[in-house]
Amino acid sequence: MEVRLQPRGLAVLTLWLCLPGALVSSFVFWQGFWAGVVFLGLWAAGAALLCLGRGRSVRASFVQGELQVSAGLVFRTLKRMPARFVSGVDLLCTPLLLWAGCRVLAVHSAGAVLVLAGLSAEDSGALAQALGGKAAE
Amino acid sequence: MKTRPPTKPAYRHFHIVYSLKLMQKMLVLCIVPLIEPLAALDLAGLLNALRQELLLLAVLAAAAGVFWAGAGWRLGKGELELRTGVLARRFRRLNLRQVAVVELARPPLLRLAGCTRMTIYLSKSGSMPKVCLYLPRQAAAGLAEILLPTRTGQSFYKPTGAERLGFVMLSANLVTTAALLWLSARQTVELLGENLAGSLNSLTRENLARLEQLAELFLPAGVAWLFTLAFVLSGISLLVSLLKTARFHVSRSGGVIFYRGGLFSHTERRVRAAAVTVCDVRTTPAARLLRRYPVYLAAGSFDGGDIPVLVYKKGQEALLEALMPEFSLPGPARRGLYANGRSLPAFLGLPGTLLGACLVLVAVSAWQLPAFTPLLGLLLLPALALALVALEAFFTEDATQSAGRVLLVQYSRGFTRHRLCVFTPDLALSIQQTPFSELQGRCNLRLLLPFYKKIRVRSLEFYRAASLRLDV
Repeated sequence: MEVRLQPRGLAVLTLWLCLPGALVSSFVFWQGFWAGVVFLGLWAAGAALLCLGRGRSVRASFVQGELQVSAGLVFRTLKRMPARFVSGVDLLCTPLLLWAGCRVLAVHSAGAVLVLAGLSAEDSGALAQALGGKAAE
Repeated sequence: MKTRPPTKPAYRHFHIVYSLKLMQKMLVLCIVPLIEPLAALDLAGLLNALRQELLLLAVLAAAAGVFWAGAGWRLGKGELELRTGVLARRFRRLNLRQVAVVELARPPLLRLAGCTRMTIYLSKSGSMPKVCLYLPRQAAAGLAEILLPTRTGQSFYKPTGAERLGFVMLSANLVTTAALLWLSARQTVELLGENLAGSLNSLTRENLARLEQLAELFLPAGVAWLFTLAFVLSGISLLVSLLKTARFHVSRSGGVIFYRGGLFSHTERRVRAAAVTVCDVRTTPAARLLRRYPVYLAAGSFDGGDIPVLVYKKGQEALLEALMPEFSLPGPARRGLYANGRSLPAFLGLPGTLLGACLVLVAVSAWQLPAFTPLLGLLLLPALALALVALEAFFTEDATQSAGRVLLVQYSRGFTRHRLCVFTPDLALSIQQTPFSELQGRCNLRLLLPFYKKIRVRSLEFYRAASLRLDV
């Protein structure tokens, strides 16, 4: 099975990434109104670019007893975690994510945590079930 | 008729040292009443504060005693139960099958009190990777025997030769240190006698030219003192190492690797062979000089400790096989074509920059300030060593899988080259590529071992990293 992050989930992620920028921008607004507006705009654009650019490239697949997550267009990464040693799976849901019909899935093993934010509820449930079932064997 | 469930044994107390350790954390409170009279230099107030201190200490001792009385341990069916706290009781249960390493440490002070510090390292990560207990000596020995039993067998490694070598090295260092101390002292006395007074007068007259001259006069002595300091420190570290490894021996009985040693401070470790995650052969600068390589074992949350489990030289690989039968060393470096396409900046970027900066500094100082050249030359040596180790890594850094599916990794960090044999299949991989490395079909591989230990192998062929099998 192969799953991808959902555009609605990525929009929620962009909002989350905008929050630190909004906090920091208060200091920039203190210096000047337009400086604050430009800073906030740049931050939001950066967050959107990161989420939509990198987030759209994320592909999680369950292949040969492994959870594989590939991401990135320019700087590519591939993460591999054997399902046999998955020690726990967390499914996170906030009101905003619930409205978007998405979830955050965190997969724990002895030495790593793999986070997939913005998966659809069906995909995250199926993946959690597959990993949980495999881990319980 | 219902049978009553078997009653569990009563909790046994920790050693009284446990209460002292609790008090140790609270002793900071004793400083508070002393601050005000000390700041005001008030003797009467200080005496009064000391009386308060006595009262505070008595209260702390009573509190620690109450905590000690409430704490304890007992062995259940396949588990070790620990109880701590008084009002808010905390019960913890350790599954005996999850015990990876048991360490019994007896520093001189604890030996005087008849106490042993027992550290239990677990093989599964969680909220409690290790537990530290203070137990009476007999109880600690008995508990260790239950947790990881060993039969007293013939030890297969007893480093008498290495100890002798250590003695020789220590003596040589002491002689060198003494000679350097004498030379430095003589040079400093000469400087003090002849030029220092004049230089200080110049300093008071704010004569910057004389200050510069003074610095020039002092520099050779400074370099000599730096050498002396380095040798004294290495001598001290050798002495500590010598004391720690005295009467050191290793044995393996059944599934437990047992090693102990120490002259004043006794250390004993029992490692469950099945829980060993990584066997690390470290090639440090000292190992290169002596042509002997220390081997460290990591198991569960135990990362190898301060003492290697054994030291071997070329031709003694059988020792490693006796220690861990599945062990195999990463193969020799494949030079030439193997390094083709590897990113040289990934290896030599930082050490090369450092070496270049040192070379420039030495060149500039030789031209403008010749007195500083020896000092900067000293900095050049470690920078050169770092660059050489990085160059070696350029040819040798690798990750392969043996026929027995054991992962063999070699990589370099700083001055040390690590050759690892990763036994645990419980690991995750992260493969990272930049546009440049993607063009060359290479990547950086990061191995994520249990307990969040990370190993990075640089500029590896992508297809080899991607084809490593994890489901074994």
